[in-house]
Amino acid sequence: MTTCAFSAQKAPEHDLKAAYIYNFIQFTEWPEDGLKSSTLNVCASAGTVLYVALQAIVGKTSHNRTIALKSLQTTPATDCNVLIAEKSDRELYSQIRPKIANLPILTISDDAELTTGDFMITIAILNERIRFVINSTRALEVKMVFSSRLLRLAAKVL
Amino acid sequence: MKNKAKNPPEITHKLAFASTLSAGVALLLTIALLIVIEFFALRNALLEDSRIEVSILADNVSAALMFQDGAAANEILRSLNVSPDLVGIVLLDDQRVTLAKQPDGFTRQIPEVKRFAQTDYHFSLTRLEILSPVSYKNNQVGTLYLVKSLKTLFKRLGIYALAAIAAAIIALFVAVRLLARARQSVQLAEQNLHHLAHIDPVTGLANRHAFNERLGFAIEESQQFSEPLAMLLFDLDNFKQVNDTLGHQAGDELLRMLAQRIAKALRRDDTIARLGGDEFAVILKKITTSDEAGQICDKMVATLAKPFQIGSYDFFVTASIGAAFYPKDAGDGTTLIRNADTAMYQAKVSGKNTFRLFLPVMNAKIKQRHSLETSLHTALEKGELSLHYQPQFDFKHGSIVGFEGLLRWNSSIHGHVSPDNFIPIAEDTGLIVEIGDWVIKQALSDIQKWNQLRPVKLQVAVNLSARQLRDKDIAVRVAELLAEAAVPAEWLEIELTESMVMENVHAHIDTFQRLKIQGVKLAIDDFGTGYSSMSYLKRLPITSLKIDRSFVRDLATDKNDLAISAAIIALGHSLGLTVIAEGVETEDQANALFALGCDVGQGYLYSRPIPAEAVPQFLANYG
Repeated sequence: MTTCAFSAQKAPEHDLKAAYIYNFIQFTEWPEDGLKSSTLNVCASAGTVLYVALQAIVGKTSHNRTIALKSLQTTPATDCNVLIAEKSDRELYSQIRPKIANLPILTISDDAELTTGDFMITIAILNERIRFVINSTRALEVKMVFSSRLLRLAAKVL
Repeated sequence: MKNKAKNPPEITHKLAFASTLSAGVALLLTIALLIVIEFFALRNALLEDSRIEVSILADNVSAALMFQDGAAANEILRSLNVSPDLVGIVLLDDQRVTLAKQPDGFTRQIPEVKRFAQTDYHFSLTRLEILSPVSYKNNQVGTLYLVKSLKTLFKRLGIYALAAIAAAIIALFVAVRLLARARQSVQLAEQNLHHLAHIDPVTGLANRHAFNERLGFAIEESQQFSEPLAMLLFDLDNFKQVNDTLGHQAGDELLRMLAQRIAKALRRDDTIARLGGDEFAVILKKITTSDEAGQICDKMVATLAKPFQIGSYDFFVTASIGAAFYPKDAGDGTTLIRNADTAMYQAKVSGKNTFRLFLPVMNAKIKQRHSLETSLHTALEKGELSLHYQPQFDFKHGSIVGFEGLLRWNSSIHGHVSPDNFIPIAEDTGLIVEIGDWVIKQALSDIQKWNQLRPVKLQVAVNLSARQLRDKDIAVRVAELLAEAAVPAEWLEIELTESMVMENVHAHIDTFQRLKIQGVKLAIDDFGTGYSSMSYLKRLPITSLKIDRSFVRDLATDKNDLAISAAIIALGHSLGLTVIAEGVETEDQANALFALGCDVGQGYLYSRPIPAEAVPQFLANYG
């Protein structure tokens, strides 16, 4: 069984991002009562290329839960365990943001401009490679912890 | 003999070599075993350490692997570069694609786990390979392949082996030293044993065993160089008395002094040995004439005649020496010893304190003596012994006063045997005790008969031998015999020779006293021939002195003999003793003795010794 979410460099960019996201989930620890539902809900804007790519991780397990993909538009943000924001979601995100500010939700930005402190992980392309920045301070505010192994791989840790 | 002495050390050397060799082999085996054990211990330690290292790495590197972050993975792997044994390490993802490796240039065919025979490691001659899974949350995400060199392991093993060998060499060296010391004491013990087997502990001289060896050697030499040799055999004449009187310690001391004296009289090449008891033997090399040997023997007799001072006592020891020659008298050692013994025996028989050179005729004499001895054993029961009596006369009154009983042996085989010939044999064999007893009994029985009808009672004199006198109970025995025969004690006179009395006055004075108390008379026979101590003479409870026949013989013609006889008679009278003259054969002698005041005479002039049956007739004739 292939447990790694992708197959080296040949994979297209979005497939790689999806695999990264799955790995982020695995290296993230939620607070004790942070995961309330029986599935681990990943919310993203429906209809984007990333959303399609994320289908690949649906059904995989992490933290003893099956991963489910939810539409950011139709799902209440408070039900999300992972929230992914792309460039096209800037408006939507500004609405959601106040509702989830104090909730243990792993927020991932695929938009380098959205780095501004709000997102726990920001994905970026540097020198044609996918890199990421981790804001562990932000995570700690809602009692979420990243594995040191993950922190070591980050391009930058805030 | 030389070979015999050499053999034991050879054996100990071989033994020492063999034990050193076996100790060495055992040590080598031990070292080899220790090295093998150490090798496996080191190998296991390396394997365990490597497994721990690789599993820590696998844990650390899992995230980098999952994110395909080769740079991060390499950085993590680089931490292993500090390990001196590292040959290389490779990180593979689940597709077996290399993500990272250290060092950079490391290329190697990554083996399948299967190749490791179902284990995660493989040891080759120089390397250890480990395959370790990289997992995250129980999912294998890749594999680490680690190769380590065994160089350090072998270096350590080498140091260990060197240390072990060094320790073994030291141990072996110490063992060899200890062994050498042990061997030395064994050798010492061997030497001691050899010494004990060949040396007489009392005198430090060679013993009989060593003497036989040396005699054999001397005979070989004598054969080779055609130089005759002589063997002397010494036997002390009165050693037993020293032992009996002063104890064995003094006896040993005497033997030591004696050995020194003999040794001093010898030449450097000569050999002296103590054969046991009071017997010594000497080998004289290069003796060509009998005269030469005789001179040496003379010298020996003279040197031994001087007194030995032990404590505060002066001891006079005399020896009888027999000499025999090789090859003149004997063709081998055994015969030589036997012939020397025969000669020595002849010296003893001829009055001791002298020497005899071996003569072939001696063997005949010995045979004769053996034959006499055999016959003497049965002489008493066969009734071959008898007493003859020689009367003793009172010079003053011309009357008979008594008889001296004299023993005669008429052997059915040897005819008439002189007492001079058979009395020494009887003394040597101990038969004299039985015979002496019979003599007293017979004499008492005879005198009892003869005195029955006589108003003036006669006395009978019997001679007591030295052997009888040594018996402490002789006085009791005499009393018993007197009682059995119902004869008054004063009818019996016991004659003892001067030398017998004076030889050991201390021991005998008690016996004399007890005989005297009973009333038995005591006479000193052969007076004037020995050495009498005047002070003892005064104290001894004797009743009469008998002037020796040698003084009486020339009394009428020799002034010296006259003077001696006069002196003895004067001395006897002044001590209140009766003086008896023996061997009176002529009227002149009788007259001279009478003139000197001698009391009693005995001799052919009056009568020869006569058989007991003739005595009554003789008495009837003389009244």
